[in-house]
Amino acid sequence: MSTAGSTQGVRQLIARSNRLYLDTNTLQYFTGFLKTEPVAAAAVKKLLQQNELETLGADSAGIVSMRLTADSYHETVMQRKTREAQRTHWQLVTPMFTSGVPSADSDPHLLQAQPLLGVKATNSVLRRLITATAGALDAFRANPDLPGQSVPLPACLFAIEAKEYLHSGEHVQPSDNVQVTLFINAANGQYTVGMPWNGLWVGTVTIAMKKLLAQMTQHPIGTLSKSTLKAGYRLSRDPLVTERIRHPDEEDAAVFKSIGSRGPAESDEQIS
Amino acid sequence: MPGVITDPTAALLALVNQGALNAYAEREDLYWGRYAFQQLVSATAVQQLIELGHAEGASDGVAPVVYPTLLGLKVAARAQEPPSEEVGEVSAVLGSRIWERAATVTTPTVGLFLSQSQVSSLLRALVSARSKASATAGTLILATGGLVPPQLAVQLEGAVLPDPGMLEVMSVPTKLRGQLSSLRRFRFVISVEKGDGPLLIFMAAGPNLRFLGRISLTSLLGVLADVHPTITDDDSYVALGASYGASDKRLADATGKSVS
Repeated sequence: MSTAGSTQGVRQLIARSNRLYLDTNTLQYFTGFLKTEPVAAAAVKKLLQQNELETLGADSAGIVSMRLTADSYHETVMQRKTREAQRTHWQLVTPMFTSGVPSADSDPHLLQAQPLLGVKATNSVLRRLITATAGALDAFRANPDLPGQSVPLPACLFAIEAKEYLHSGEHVQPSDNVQVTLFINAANGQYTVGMPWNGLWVGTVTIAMKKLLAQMTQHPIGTLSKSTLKAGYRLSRDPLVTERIRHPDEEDAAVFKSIGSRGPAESDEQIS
Repeated sequence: MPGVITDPTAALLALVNQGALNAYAEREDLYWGRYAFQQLVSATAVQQLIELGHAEGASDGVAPVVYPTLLGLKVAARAQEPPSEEVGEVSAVLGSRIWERAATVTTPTVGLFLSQSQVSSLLRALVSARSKASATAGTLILATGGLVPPQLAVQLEGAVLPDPGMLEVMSVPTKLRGQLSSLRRFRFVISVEKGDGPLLIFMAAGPNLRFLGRISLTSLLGVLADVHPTITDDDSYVALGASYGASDKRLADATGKSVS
């Protein structure tokens, strides 16, 4: 492999998480979120010489965090143009936030990373979401002591910088294919998605069921089967979805309005 | 700006109601609820509370944070209506002292508030959840907890559980139970999986779930029995022991079932 080829390959590899780490204890470079991969020092040197990397900081364990510059990241993503027929449609793309208590085993550099979650709009994924939601709503109606359920769902993790590219339909390589947990809050008509993260938890803001289900109709014809669309439409008419009950502990929309912000509850992160 | 609290007394009540206030990142003159993003308070009113000794300032490393002091809690208790519903006396908190790394001399505590009624309803919900959890889906149940401000949290004595979740059981001295019981209650969610998997505990205030920690069902039942020994006679407690197959010695001892 030529030097240029290897540099390009390394650029693509780093772009998946858009994080490059240097362990100053071992002088090894590595990249990734959940599964890290080593990166050749020679390729990193080349990227540094071309001013394609910027430093984000260093942690107490001696790990230096870097990422591709905006220009380099843009160029790397745009090199992976895809035909419309190959295009992946996304039901949900939204940032994830860490919470919890870091343990002694937690890697500080990963705690700083903020991944982007992508849930594909495929028939099987959305069928699972619809079936689980309908089950959770029925269970809550039968027993108010059971306000919700959780189900595993396949998803992808991306660099946070991938957001605008996924919105515009570019093909971006994920850092990891993961199994996340979908929390179905039947009592308040909301979803949240999350997963363990380096001893902590990483999760999305809550999303109104009504908003996510309505998104199903926005995908191009043929993305979802008629029966899935019908089931999604039927679910979206459920009173627990259409007239969701706000919990007193939710953020206050009036507060966001008075400071001129849409706020998390009003934001619309779903894309087709 | 409409809706912004400027009166110091109203600001104190808002502070106690929110548990803590955070500076709003994009407006230096405003604070709002640290967890639920509710109620806007002017920075001037917050400064007055600090000067009066009703609040103490800290930082979470990103933005200024304000907690009520013991004096502030007492003044607020005199200024507001007593709670209309019986919430029960909180005798222990199951939570973490390092959940928030606020740069204060003392740190706040966040966790489940364990009153007798809370423990009973938690047991009932756990029984329902264990019977409902399927091989493919877990069940969520609700619990009640809150934030114990630093000056109160430092007076709670606790023991860290052996579970890897780093949770701590903190007993509340009798003289402080009135003050702790008057604190703002927040919704917590517990995720219950089928089998022996750990329970995941989240604070569910504001826009996202905030992970508090994980605990095994055995440990949780042990904690509840230690805090309120009479619950071991509760049908729900016995039912949970039976559903667990009495394979765990501590639980078996507590529920009177033999270990197979």
